[in-house]
Amino acid sequence: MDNVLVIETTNLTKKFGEQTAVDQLNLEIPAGSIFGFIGPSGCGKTTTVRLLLGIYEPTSGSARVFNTAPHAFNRQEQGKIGYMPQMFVLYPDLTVWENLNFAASLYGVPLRRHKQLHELLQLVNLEEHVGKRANQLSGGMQRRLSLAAALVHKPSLLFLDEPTTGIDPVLRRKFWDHFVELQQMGHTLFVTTQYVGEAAYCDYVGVMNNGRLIAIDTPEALRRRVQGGDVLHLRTQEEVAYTLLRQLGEQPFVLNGRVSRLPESTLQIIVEEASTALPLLLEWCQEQEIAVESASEYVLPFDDIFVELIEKETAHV
Amino acid sequence: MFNSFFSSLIRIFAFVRKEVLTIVRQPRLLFSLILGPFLILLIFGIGYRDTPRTLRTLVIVPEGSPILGLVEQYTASFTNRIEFLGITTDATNATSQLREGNVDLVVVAPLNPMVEWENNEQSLFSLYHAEVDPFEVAYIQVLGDRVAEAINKQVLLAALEETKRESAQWQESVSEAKVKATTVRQELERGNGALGQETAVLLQQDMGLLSLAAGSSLLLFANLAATGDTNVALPAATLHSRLESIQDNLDTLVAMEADDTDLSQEIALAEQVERDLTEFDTLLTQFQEIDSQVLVAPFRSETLSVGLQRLDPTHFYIPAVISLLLQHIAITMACLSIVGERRGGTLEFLQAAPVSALETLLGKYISFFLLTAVLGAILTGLVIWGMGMPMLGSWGNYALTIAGVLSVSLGIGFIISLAAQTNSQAIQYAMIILLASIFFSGFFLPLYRLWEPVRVISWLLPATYGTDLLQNIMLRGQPGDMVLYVALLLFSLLFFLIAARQLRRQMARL
Repeated sequence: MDNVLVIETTNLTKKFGEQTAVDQLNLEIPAGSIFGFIGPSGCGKTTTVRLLLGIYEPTSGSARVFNTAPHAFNRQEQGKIGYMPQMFVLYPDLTVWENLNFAASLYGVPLRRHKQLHELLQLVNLEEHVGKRANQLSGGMQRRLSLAAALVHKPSLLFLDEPTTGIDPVLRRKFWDHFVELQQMGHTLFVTTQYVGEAAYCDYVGVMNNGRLIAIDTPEALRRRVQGGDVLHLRTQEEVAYTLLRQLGEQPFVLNGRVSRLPESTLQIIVEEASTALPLLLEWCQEQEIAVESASEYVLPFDDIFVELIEKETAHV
Repeated sequence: MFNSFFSSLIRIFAFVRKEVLTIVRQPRLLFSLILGPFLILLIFGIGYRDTPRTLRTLVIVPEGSPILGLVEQYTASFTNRIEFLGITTDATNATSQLREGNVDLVVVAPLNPMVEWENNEQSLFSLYHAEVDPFEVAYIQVLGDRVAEAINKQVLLAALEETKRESAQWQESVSEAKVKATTVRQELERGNGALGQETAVLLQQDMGLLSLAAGSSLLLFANLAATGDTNVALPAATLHSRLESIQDNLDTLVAMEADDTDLSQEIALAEQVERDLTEFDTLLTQFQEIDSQVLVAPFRSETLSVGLQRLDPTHFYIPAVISLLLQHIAITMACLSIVGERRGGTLEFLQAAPVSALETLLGKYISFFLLTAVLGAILTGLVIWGMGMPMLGSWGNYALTIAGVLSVSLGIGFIISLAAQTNSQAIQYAMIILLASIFFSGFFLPLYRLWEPVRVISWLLPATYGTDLLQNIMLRGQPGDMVLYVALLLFSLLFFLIAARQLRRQMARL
C-alpha cells in the first residue's frame, strides 16, 4: 500500500448506545484500488461506509478521506465521492432518465449532460429502458440504475454498499467486470459484499466480523495466511507409504513438514511458493519411483478462507 | 460565486421537477385533489337547505282553561315553522310522545292567564323539547319567543278591537257629558249656583258610569307599559288619566258650597271639565282611528345587506371551504414528503450528496407551492364559474391570501414530516390539524363564540386567516385586515425557518 492513500482510518469506532457497530477500525486504502469489505450481515460494513461518507460522526478514533475528516466534508469533497447505497433509494415514480437526471443535478453536473447520461446508461445497459419508471425495473436493473446514479458525476472515489446483493450470478459477474473497468479508468472503489468469492476481484480485502476488522490484505496474502503457504495436491496411483510421507515432509520445499493425506490417494502439501515447489515435488516423486496421476496447485476457495478467518477470530475472542 | 449559486439553483429545481413529476404521475391522487374538493363543495351547495325546520308541535291546554278557544284560534294561524298536531289535556301522553320522537315540541298553555293579568303578571307558555343539539335548542328558544310575541300581538289586537268598538259607545256618553258640562258652566256663569251644582252631580254620575265601563279596559292597556309594550299603553294611559282628571274636577266641583256671590272657582272647574271632556272626546276619536295593527306593533323590521350582490347561503361557506381544503392538501403533501424520503432511504442518498438542507427544503417548498397553487386556481375557477360564487374584491388580494395560506400550511406540513416517524403518523398529525381547523377556524362556528384564550389556537391555523380574508374579499369586496396578511407572512417565515433547522439537524452527521 505504497500509493497515495484515499482512505485512512485510525481506531475508528462508532457506538450506538451500548452497542459497538465499528470497533477500532484501521484502514489504509490507496488510490486506484478496489477495496473489498467482506463480512456477514450486520457486522458493521454499512456503518463503516456511512462513517467514511460523513453520514455518521465517529464516536472515537478518526477517519480521513481525501485527507479530510468525512463529517467535515465540503461540497467539493462530497462531489468527488459517489455512493451506491445498499437498498434502491431512487424515486420509483420517476423514469430511469429522470432519476439519473435528478442525481446529476444534485451533484452539480452541468445542464448540457444529455450525451454524458446516455453514455452512462449504455455503460450500465439501461439505454433501452430510459423511459421506464424505476418501479417497473427488475431488481438487477434497479441496482444498475443506482450504480449509474453513483457514477453520474464521475467521482474519483466510489462507495458501493453490497452492490451485488440479491442479483443473479451472471449479472454479478458483469458488475464486477464493470468495477474492474472503473478501476482501470482510475476510480477508487470501496465495495462491501456478503459474497466472499467476490474478494478475488479486489486488490485489497478487509474481513469484518462483529464490528472488528479481523484481517486486511491482498486476497492472495489472505489465502496464504489461512493456508499457511501455497497448497499442492498430489494424486498417486497407489497409496504413498508412511516412511515416504515422512521423507517428503523433510524436503526443503515443504513448509514445516506439512504433508497430510486426503482421500483417493491424494496428498496435500503446504509449500512456500507453488510455482517453484511443483517441479521439485515431481522430481522427488520420480526419485522415489512414485507413480503420479496428477499434481497441481490447489486454490482454496475464499468462502473457506473467510470461514477459517471467522473461526479463528471467534476462537481468539 | 456565480457557479455556486447556479449549482444551487440546479439542485433546487431538481427537487421541484422531481416532486412535480411524482405528483403528476399519480392521476388518482390528482383526481382526488382537484375534483374531490370541488365535488364536496358542489354536493354541499346542492344539498344545503336554508329553510328553517318545521317543528311538529303538540299543545297542552289544562282542563278547564278559559283560553282553550284562544289557543285553537291561534294555533290555526301558525302554519309557518310549526306544524300543530293538536291540542291535548293529557300532559303525560304528550311528554312520552316527545321522548319517543313523535313530536318535536310540546307547548304548555297557562291555566288561567286572565287572573295573572289582573295581578299584573305575565302568563307563561312553556315549551318542552328533547333536542341535544345546542343550535336546535337555540332555534326552539327563538321560535318560542316569536310564538309568544305573535300570541301577545293577537291577544292585544283582539282586545284593542273590542275596546275600540266599545269606545264608540263611550263617545256617545262623552257627547252627552259635554252638553251637561256646558250647562253646568252656563248656569254657574249666570250665577245660578244651585242649578249648576245639581247638573254637576248628574254629570258626576254619568262620568262614574263611563269610568266603570271604560276605566278597566283603559287601565288594562295602560298597565301594558309595565311589560314594555308602550305602543298601546301610552294612548290608553292618556285616556285613563283624562278620565280621572274629569272625575277629580267634578268631585271637587260637587263638593264646593254653592255661593252665589262668587262662583269664579266653580266656573273655572266647569270650564276645565268641559275642556277635558272635549280632549277626551278627541283622544277617543284618535284612538278609534289609529290602525290597530300599527297600535299593537308600530314597528316592523326588514334585513338588507350593504353588499352589492345577493348571496346564497352556500356562498358564505365557500371561502372557508377553499382555505380549509387548500390548507389540508398543502399540509398533507408536505407532511408525507420528508418522512417519505427518510423511509425510502433517499435521505441517506441526499446526506452523501453535495446538497444542503436549505436547497432540499426550498425545492420541495417551491414544487408543492406551485402544485397547490394550481390546485387552488382550478378550485377557484370551478366555484366561480361552476357554482356562481361571487368575487366582489380584488384578485390580487385573493392570490395573496391563497399564497399566504399555502406557505404557512406547507411550513406546518414540513414540520410534521420532520417530527413523524412513519407516513401514518404524519397523516394522523395532519388529520388532527384538519379537525382543529374545522372547530377553531371559523368554518362553522364564528370565532366570537370561542373563549378568548382558546382563540389563540384559531389564530395558529392558516385556515382561520384564509376564511376571514377570503370572506372579506369574495363576499364583501373588501381587502381584509392588513394585520392578517402580515401575520401570514411572518408565520410562513417562522415555519420555514423551523423546518429548515429541523431538516438541517436530520441531514447533519449523526
